[in-house]
Parts: sequence; structure tokens; C-alpha cells
Amino acid sequence: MKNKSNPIIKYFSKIQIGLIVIILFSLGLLFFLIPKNEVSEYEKRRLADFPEYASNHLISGKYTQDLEAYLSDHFTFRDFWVETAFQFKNFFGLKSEATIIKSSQESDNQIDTSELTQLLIDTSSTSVDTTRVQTQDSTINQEEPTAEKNEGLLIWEGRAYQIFGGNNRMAKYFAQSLNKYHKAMSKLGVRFHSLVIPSPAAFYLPNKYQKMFSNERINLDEMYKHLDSGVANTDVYEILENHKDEYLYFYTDHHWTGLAAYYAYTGFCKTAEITPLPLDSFKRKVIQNFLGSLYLQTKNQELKEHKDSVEYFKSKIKTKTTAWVKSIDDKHIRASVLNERAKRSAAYSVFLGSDYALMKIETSVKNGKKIALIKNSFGNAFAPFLINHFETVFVVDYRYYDGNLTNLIKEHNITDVVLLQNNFGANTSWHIKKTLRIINPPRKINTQEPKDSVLHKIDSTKF
Amino acid sequence: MVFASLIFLYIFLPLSLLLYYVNKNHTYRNLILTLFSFIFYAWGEPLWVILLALSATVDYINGIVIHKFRNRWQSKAALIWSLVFNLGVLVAFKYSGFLATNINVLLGTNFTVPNFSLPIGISFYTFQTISYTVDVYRNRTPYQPKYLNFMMFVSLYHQLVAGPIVRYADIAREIDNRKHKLLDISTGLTRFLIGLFKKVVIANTAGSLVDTYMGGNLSDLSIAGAWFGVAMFAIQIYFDFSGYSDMAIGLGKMYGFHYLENFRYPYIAKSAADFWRRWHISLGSFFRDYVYIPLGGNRKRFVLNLFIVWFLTGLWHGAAWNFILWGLYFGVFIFLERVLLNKVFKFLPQIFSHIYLLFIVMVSWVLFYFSDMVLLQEYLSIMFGIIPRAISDIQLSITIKNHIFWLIFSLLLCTPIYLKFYELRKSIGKQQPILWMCGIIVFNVLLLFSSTALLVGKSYNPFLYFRF
Repeated sequence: MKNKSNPIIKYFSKIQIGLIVIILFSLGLLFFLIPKNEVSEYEKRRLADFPEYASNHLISGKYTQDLEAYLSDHFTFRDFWVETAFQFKNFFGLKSEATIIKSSQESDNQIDTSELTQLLIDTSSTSVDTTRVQTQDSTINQEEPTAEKNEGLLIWEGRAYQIFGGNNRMAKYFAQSLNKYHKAMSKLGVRFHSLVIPSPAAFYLPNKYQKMFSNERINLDEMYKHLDSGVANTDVYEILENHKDEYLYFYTDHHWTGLAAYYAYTGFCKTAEITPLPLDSFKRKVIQNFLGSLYLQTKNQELKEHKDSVEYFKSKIKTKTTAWVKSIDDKHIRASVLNERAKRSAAYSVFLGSDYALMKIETSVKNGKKIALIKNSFGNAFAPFLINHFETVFVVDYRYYDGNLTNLIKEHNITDVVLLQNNFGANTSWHIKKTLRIINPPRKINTQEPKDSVLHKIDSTKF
Repeated sequence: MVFASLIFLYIFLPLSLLLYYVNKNHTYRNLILTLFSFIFYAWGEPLWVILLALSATVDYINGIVIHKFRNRWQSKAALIWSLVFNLGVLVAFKYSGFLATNINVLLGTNFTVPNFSLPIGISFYTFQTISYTVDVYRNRTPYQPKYLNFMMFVSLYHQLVAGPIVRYADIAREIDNRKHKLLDISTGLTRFLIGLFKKVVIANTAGSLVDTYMGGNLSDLSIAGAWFGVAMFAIQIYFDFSGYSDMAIGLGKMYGFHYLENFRYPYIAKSAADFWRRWHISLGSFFRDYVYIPLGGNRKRFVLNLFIVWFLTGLWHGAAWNFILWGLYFGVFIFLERVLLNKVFKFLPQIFSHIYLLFIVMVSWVLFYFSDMVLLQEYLSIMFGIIPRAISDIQLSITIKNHIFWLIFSLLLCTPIYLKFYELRKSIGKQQPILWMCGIIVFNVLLLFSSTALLVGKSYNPFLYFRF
């Protein structure tokens, strides 16, 4: 062989082999030695637990899969590697005036909606057979498909836009779900309000990028077209469009601002025949240096240079707030309408503090009116305005609430129900199902674990 | 288990290397290698490892019978049994669902369609054991008397799951007795890391673009977008597959085995026949030596032989009609080249034959990608402007700009640019060995570093709704 007699090459080969093997071995070893974190500060999530052994999981290959997930979640210097990966990918190409970040998630267009149709048609699902509840429940138990990630992101001039992929079919489904709510509420003598929050793309993106997005105005028009006349609907799009030069959306986060929520509130008041409070009657406060979810997802430099600030408006009304964290079976805790200690990447949680399954806010208003807000995190910025006009405000997060809304309404003599949804959620079957579920809860049945949806991936090991 | 995973890189590989080299005894080393191979296989497929062991045992016995009863009927019977068994296993586990579905459609019968999860690597190891029994029968290689050694040959984790198809005859000597050279380990390590990089940095990135353009919603795809999508798929499949082969060859060298090359810059080929002499070489040569030539090769019924081979090549890649179509598609072009095209290209500048090849390969990948015939047709119609679509779109131009360096780099790596490195090695490596070796070490660390970052980064999954 060549260089057989060259001692220098031999010597350095030993160094090369030694070095690489030592790197491999020591990183592997450190994994076993370093104490494990349960939660990742960097990713704001719980890391994988060490899988529990079960022989059927071993045979199906799930056990080893979970072990690998555990390894990668707790891998030595994980945060450093992730950060390096983002830096490295920056070298893949040039910065253009806009950046597209694609998500590999399945888009809702391909998800089977037959089950959703079933849910919408069938109005007497209290007497459903168990098999149907089971399938229904197993989808519901799945992790929340963040609709916001579905079609990816476009970053343009320092702002991240989630690419909206809604369509007329989903808009119609959503309208039907609102009609169903309306019907259920009228039976109880409760007034039903609806607000759908558009995303910033419609207001700020130039035309050439608009083509990548579904048109939200068209989508909303389709939705409103199918609404029953009794639904007290507020066209939030129209209201926000009038104020689009103001700070309505964050640059680095998918939520709307407190100011945008205020304008939506004025619109809601109009339909609800309430006189809204003027903006200057609130005490305005600001949390600086907010880098939100979309920055966290992309670690994009442009976004990093465009830190947001979270504006919130304090009311003079006194409140007493209780919250149920995950389930109404939990012990309740003390909470507050505004969590003024919220900061940095969690600054949006100034509104309500967190996404509790259920909150009960008792106010110093005495007018006998009680309202329930059905919401996801978009509703958090909106809820603080309701306390000015209602004796009690219930905040129900339909994603986590496991109780029965009808019972809640009856028990507390609730007079108004408002469903606040962002347009992404409105166009996602998972969210529609979840909102419907709380007015028609399925009987609880221990269901099988949801099977992972296996995407068809080309891989040489599959031949 | 797969090579491009943290568990393989940081736990399995260092442990198996360490335990292997800790003792010089040859039997010990073969035992360790077999043991680790079984763990490797059982990691993802705890059940199918039994099938692997069974398959190896059957052909171990067949080998002995063929040898002991040479020139007698028992020998032939053992060969036939080996073929029946291996092909039977392959048909049962890979093609039974496909067969049942088609028979039901064709004859209106109502067989239940079996639904096995495909045992990983089955297409590779059944072919490897077939090559063994056939070669022993043909007296091309001695039989393997030791059970452990034969088990090791079949289960060797280097090429078990994704090839290349290593013939027993090619490594027979190394199974019984191999030398472990420092330089082999060193170059093997570099080769492995190059393969890892190709898989993680190039194939996976291309893969996510393929998901967007080919796997996404076809209703808003532009013509250029469709071509870009299939180009990305061409990059993905080449770097994925050749990356695995690089890793296998590199791993082999680290343990003293020398496997044959499986890819030789297929995208610089100038005809379909040339392409297949450069793409998945071990499969092409397997069909040549064990199907095409025994059928009579070029001498008799060449057209039939040709199409049998290409039908089988297509079918080997997967149990679906699109793969068969894909194989036959190449058969047609290879036939046309023989009877006509080669003569035409002789009179034209080389660039024409090269463009011709790239064009037919790109179209072939569309056949390869879509198992759904409706989508396949739609995609091809978009590519060729049959369905009216925008020529290009802003999304595509942004994507290309955002990936421009990666793209140029990947395209460069499709060409024989490595050969330039071998030339450098001859000049710099001889004159400045220290400089050269330092370069190699830095290169190794960079490959490992970037691949690890992307592997860990892949699992980055921030929680978007904050709950504290």
C-alpha cells in the first residue's frame, strides 16, 4: 500500500483515530454522567422522560424509539448543538429580502375531515356508540397540531408571518361549528358571540408575497356567509384593518398585541350593545425586550434584531381570580388577570399568566351579567377587557378544559358566551373538534395510544 | 438502528470498536462483530432478527450440502432449496401484499391482503445469501465451514440495512482471516464521516425541500417548482444512498473488510446504460451475473432478457407498480440506446448525450417517487406544461437564494471532485505529510461536528404555547 513506510503518516493516523474515537466515546459517556434536566429553558418545553419498559413496546420497536428520543433530548450540550445547527444553516445560502422557513408538518388540507363532518352533522352525540367516541377521543388526545406551523413561515422586513393555508371548506366547517354553538346556547337562553382574529399577513405583506398565502378576507367572507343570523359576530378583520398602521401584531410572536385586542373589544361591545371604555381610561404599561415564539422556532437573526414590546392596559376594576391548571378535577389555585412579572420570551403571559383550563374572575362590577370566554392563547389578551362589564368572567381554554360547558353555564347562570378564535385555529379541524367537544363531551374511555402518523419518507433503508 | 443517529455514533460505534480491538483473537473478533450486528438489527426490528438468523442458518447448511455432495443431485437440490427459500422469504414479506391486492383486482377474488412491516434489509441479505450458494455451486468460492463466520457474513451491520450487496466471494478471505491496518482504519473513518455528512447535511436538507415541492399541495405548484422538486429528489436519493454506501465501506475498512464501490458519479453518465454502471453497482452486477447472463445474455433472446432484468430491478426497489414502471422505463431507454441512440450520439457533441441522460433520469425519479398513479400523472403534467401553471413563483426564487451555497456544493459533490483530492494527496501528501494529515484531522472533526449539530438540531422542538 502507499505510504506504508511513512512513519509520519502512521503517527498522525493514530492521532486522527484516537481523537475521533475519544470524541465519540466521551460525548457518549458524558450523556450517562451528566445530570438530566426535566425541562428545557432553551426550548420552553418538558424533555422526554426515560421510557418505561414494556415488552410489547420492545417488540413493536416503540421502546427503542423512545430511548432514542430520550437520548437526543438529553444529549450532551444539546442547546449548544441546536444553536450550532442554526448557525450552520445560515451558511447554506444568501439572505434574501424574504426568508421562507418550511415546516415539515402535515398540512390540514390532507387530513381526513370525514370525522369532523360526522361531528357537525350528528347533534345527538350523547347517545353515541362507544366505538365512535373512541375514535373521536383518540384524535383528541393527540398532541395539539400547531396549525400555526402548518405551512411554514415567511420572514420579511423583520417580521415573521405564518403562512395561512386555510380554505373555503374549512371556513364552512368552522361556521357550522359556530352555528352548533349558537343552537346549544339559545336553548339555554344565552347570547352567543363570535370573533375571529386574522393574521398580520393580510395587512402588511406586499402583493408578490401574498400569493403564497390563502386570502384571509375571502376565507372570512365564506365563513360569515354560512353563519346563522343569530350568531352575534364581530368582523375583527374590518376593525383591525382601520388601525393597521398601529402596533397590532408582534414581529417575533404569533399573537396579537394588547392594543389589537382592545380594538376587537370595542367591536365586540358594539355587537353586544355595551359602551366600551376609552383607551385612556386604562393605565398603559409596557414590557420591553420580548422575543416570542416565532423567534424561538427559527432563531432568525433578523427577528432577533427586532425585539417586541408587550403593551398592556390596567383597569381600575378589582378582581379575584381562581384557576384550574389542567383539569377541573385539580385543586384550584390563585391567579390574576395580569401577571406583571412576565418577561422576555414569556412576556405575552402577562395576560392571564398562563393558559389555564378554566379561570373564574370575580369582579367589583355588580350588574348580574356573567360571561364565559371560550378561547386559546389569543383570548388571553382579550379577557382583561371583559372584566369591566361583567360580574363574573369565566375563561375556558377549549384545548385543556375537560368539563362540560353546558353544566358550567347552568350552574353559574351565565348570560353570555363568546368564542374567540384566531383564523388559523378556525381553519384547523383539531381546533374545531376541541371547541365542539366541550359542549358535547364524550364519555371518558381509556383509549389506546394514538398511533404515530407515519409519513412516507424515502430512505435507502426501505428497499 | 441507522448510522445517522446519535445512538449509533456516540454509543454503539465507540463501544463496538473498543470491544473489537481489545482482543486480538480472530474468533473473539468475529463473535463481537456478530453480536453487535445482531444488536444493531434487533434495535429497530426485534422480531425480524429471527428471520435473519433463520435465513443465515438455512444457507449455511445449503452451502455445506452443495460442497459435500458436489456433482450429485443433492447439491443441485440444495441450490434450488436455497433459491426457493430466499425468494420465498422475499416474496412473502415484501411482495405478498402487493400480489394479493393485484390478484384480487384482476380475478375479483377476495384474499385478505397481508400487511407485514417490511423487515429491514431483507432485499439485501437474501441477495447476499443467494450469491453465496450460487457461487459455491459454481465453484467460484469455497464454502464456509464455520457457523459463526457465516452468521457474521450475513449479519454484518455495515451493509445489512442499505447495501452495498456484498458477495461472499468478494470477502471470503477476509471473513476467515483479515489484516487490520492502521491506514485502513484511518481512511475508513474519513470515508465513514464523509458518508455521514452526505446523509445528514445534504440528503436530509434536500429531503425537506422534496417534502415541500413533491410532497406538498400540487395545486399551487409552478412548472419550475416541479422541476426543482424532482432535482431535489435526485440529490436526496443519490446522497442518501451513496452516503449509506460510503458509511458501509468506511465501517468495513475500520474492521478490515474491503467492500466494492457502489456508486461512481452516476450523474455524469452519458447514457442510461452508463448510468446503471455507475448507480448502485452491486445491484446491477448482481442482476447481470445471476439473472441476465444465465438467461443467455446478449447471445440469445436479448430483448426478452433485457426486459426481464429491468422488470426485476424495478420490482426489487419496492412492491408497487410505479417501481416496475420505473425499471421498465430504463429498460426501454437502454434498448433504444443499443439499437439507435448510441449511433446518433456518436455524431453529436458529448453535451447532448449528457443532457439526454439527466433528462431521462429526472423523469425517472418522478416515477420512483409517486406510488399514487393519479399524483404521478398530475406531477408529470405540471412538469411538461400540460396543466397550465405559472412558469415560476416567488417562493421558489427565495428558496433557491436561501440555499444557493448548499446547492452549488451539492452539485459539485455529484462530480468526480474527490479525485482531485486523491491527486492532492499524491502531491501534498508526499511532500508535506504533516500538513496533509493535520488537514485530514481538521476535516474529520468538521464533518463530525456539523453532522452532530444537524442531527441534534433536527429534534429541536420549542413549545409555542407557553405554559409555566
